[in-house]
Amino acid sequence: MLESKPDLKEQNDSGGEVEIPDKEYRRLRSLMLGQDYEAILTSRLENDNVYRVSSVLTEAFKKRNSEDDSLALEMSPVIESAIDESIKNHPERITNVIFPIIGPAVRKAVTRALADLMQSLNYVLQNSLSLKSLVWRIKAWRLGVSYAKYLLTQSIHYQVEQVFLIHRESGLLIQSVQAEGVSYQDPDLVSSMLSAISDFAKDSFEQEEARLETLQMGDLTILIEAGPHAVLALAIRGTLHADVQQVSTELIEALHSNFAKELRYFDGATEPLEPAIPMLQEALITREKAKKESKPWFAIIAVTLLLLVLGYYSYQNYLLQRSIEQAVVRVNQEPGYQVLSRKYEDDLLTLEVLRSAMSVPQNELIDTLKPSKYEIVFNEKIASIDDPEIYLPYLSSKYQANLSVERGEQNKLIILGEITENNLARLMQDSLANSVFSVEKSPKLIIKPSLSVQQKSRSEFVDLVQSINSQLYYFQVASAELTEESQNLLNQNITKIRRILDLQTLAETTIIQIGIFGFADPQGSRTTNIDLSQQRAKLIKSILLENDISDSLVISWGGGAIDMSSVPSQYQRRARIEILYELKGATSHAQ
Amino acid sequence: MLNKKICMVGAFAVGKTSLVKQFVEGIFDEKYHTTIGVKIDKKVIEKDSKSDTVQLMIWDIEGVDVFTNLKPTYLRGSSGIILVVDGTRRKTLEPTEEIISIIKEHLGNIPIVLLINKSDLETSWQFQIEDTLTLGIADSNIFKTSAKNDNNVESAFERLVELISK
Repeated sequence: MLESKPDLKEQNDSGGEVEIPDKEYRRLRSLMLGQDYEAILTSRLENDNVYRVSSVLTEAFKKRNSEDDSLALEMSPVIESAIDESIKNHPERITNVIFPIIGPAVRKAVTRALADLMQSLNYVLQNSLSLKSLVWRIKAWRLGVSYAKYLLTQSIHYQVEQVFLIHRESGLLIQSVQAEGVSYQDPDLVSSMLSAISDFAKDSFEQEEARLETLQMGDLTILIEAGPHAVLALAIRGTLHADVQQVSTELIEALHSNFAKELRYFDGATEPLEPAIPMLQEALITREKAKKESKPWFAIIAVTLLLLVLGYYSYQNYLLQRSIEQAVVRVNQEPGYQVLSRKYEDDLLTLEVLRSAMSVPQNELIDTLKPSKYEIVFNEKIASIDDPEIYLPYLSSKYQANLSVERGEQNKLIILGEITENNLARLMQDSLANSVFSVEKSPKLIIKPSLSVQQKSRSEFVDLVQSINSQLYYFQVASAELTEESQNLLNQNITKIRRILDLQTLAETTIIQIGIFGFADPQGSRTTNIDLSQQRAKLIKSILLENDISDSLVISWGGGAIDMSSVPSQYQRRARIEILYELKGATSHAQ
Repeated sequence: MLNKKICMVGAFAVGKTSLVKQFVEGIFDEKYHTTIGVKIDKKVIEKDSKSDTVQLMIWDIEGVDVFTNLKPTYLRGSSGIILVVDGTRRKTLEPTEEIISIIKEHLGNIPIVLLINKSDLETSWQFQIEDTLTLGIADSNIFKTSAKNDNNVESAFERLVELISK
C-alpha cells in the first residue's frame, strides 16, 4: 500500500510555491502511465516491502530479544490467542501432543501419593502403637504437654518459633512474627524483658562492650543478633544449628540495609517497618529430622490384616448366599411348591411359599434342607383348586398371561385368557399348576401369536437405518481424510449397513438408495469447498464399495459450505449417510 | 499506634511498683515486695483518634538507696520519666537531684513528672510540694498521688504522655 506522500510543491505564476496534493499527483501518473502500469508499480512496491522486511525479520527479533523482554511481552497476547484458536479448531492435535506426557505424569503422581499415604499411615501407627510411642506418651504427661506437641519436638531437628525485631536503644518491639501453631507470650513484653536481661547481664558482670548472644532454657534457645540500631532475637526450639546463626546474621544486615533510615530514626511508630515482616517470616525455619526411608511395615501389616478380615467376611457372606440360593432352588424343585419371595435377617431365612394341598408338608421339606448357619421358616399359602384367587395371579405373572377362571360343566374349572404358544407349553409343565389341577388346553384359552420373524426383522431393520442416518463423519482440515474417530465409526457402521441389506427379505423392505452427502467449513473459496465436499462424499462411497455394497445403490454429492455460524468449524467438515427404503406395500421411507 | 518507653525511678519503697500496678491493673496490694532489677509492664492509652493512641512500656526500675545506684542502662531510649517520692519520708527527696542529674546526662531534656506518693497519708507527710520546687520541675508536672486510693494516678501518666507527645 502506498503511503500518503507529502504534497509536492511547484511555482505559481507569481513566483510563490504552491503545493500539489498527492491525490492529484497520483491521478496524473495514472493518466500518463495507464491503470495497468499503476497496478504493476503498486504490486512491485508492495512485494519489495515484503521482501525487505522478511530478509531482516529474523535478525531483528534476535537483536531485540538480546536487549530486553519487550518483544516477548508484546508477542505474548498474540501467541496466547493463536494457542486458543488452535485448541478450538484442532483439539485433537493438542491432545496428541500432551497425551504422551499426561499418562506418565498422572501415574507418577498417583504412585507417589499412594507411597506417601502408606508412609503417613505407617508413621501414625508407629507413633500410636509402638513401645517408643508409649514411652513418649509418659514423658509428655510428665512434662505437662500434649502428646502431639511432644511428638513434634521429637521429630524436628529445630524450629524457629518466633522472631523479634527490637529497637536497640529503647528495647521497644518494632515487629515480630511467629510460626503457625506456636503459642506465645506478649511479644512487646518479651522484647523489653530481653533488652532488660541483656542490660542486667552487662551491668552485673561489668561487660561494657560484650553483648548477650544466647539464652537457653531447656530445649528453647533465644539467639540474639545485634545491629547498630536494632536487635534480632530468634526463639528456637531444638538444637541450635549454624544455619540459623547464619540466617540471623544475614537478616539483621539486610534489615539495616533496607530500612536504615527507619531504624535509625525509630520513634515508636511501627507502621513504616511493616514491610520488614516478610523478611522476618523467612527466618521461621523448620528443619525436620531426616526420616529413614524404610518399608512401612506397620502400614503393610495393618492393611494386610484389614484385607484378610474383609476377605474372610466376604467369603462367609458368599457361602451364606450360596446356601440360601440352594435352599430356594430345592424348594422350587419340590412338586407343588413355588417360592414367591425370600427374606434373610438375623440368621433367619423366611420364604413366602405357594404350595398345593397335595404337596409334602413344609416341616418335612425343611428337614431335608438342613442349613447349618441359619433357620428356615415358610410362610405358606395353600393353593387348592377351589382358591383360584391364590394361584391365578402367580401363574398370570409367571407366564405373561391374562388368566381367569369360570365354572364349566361337571363343575370343572376352566381357565380363560390369552397366552402365547410358548408360555402355554411352559404352563402345562408347571409343577404347581400340575399339582393343583390337570392342565388341558381349553378352547376358551386364546393363544396369542408370538412376535413373528417378519416383525422382529422389520423392527431391527428400522432401528439400524435410523442409527445410520443419524450419524456424522468428520474430516481433517482442508482434506478428504477422515478423523481417526470417524474412521472407526464408519467401519462399525459398514457392518450395520450390510446387516440392513441382509434383512431386506425377512423384513419385507427394499432399499431404494444409499445417499452420501459431504460438506465443508466456510474457510476457503466456494469452488474449493464444493470440490472438497464432493471428495469427502466420494471417499465414503469408495469405502462402501470396497465392502461389497452395490455401486448401483450408492450416490455421492458435495454440498460445499452451508452457513452454520454457531457450529464450530471442525463439526462443519463432515459427511453423512442417508438410507432411503420402502416397506412392501407402502411408500418410501427415509429418516 | 505509637510505642513509648517510660521509666519509674525514685528511692526504694516510695510506691513505684504500686503506682504501676494501680495504673495497669487497677489493684493495690498492701504487701511490700522490693523490685530487683527492673519490672516491665504495658498499658495502652487511647485517645480520641486511633492515630493518638500510645502504648506505654513502663520500666519499673529498682529503688535507689545507699547500696544501689540508678543504672543508666535501663533508662536508655526512654521518652519520659516518672520520678516518685514518698511524702511520708523526707529522706526519699535526697537522691532526687542526683537522679535528675543522671537523667539529664544520659537522656537530655526529656519530660519528667514528679509524683509525691501516699497522699492517703497526707496528714503524716514530712514535706510539701514547695520543698520540691528546687528540683526544677514545673508545678503542672507535679502530682500528689495515692496508689492505694487511686488518686491522680491516671492523671499523672496522662500528663507524661501529653508531654511526650508534644
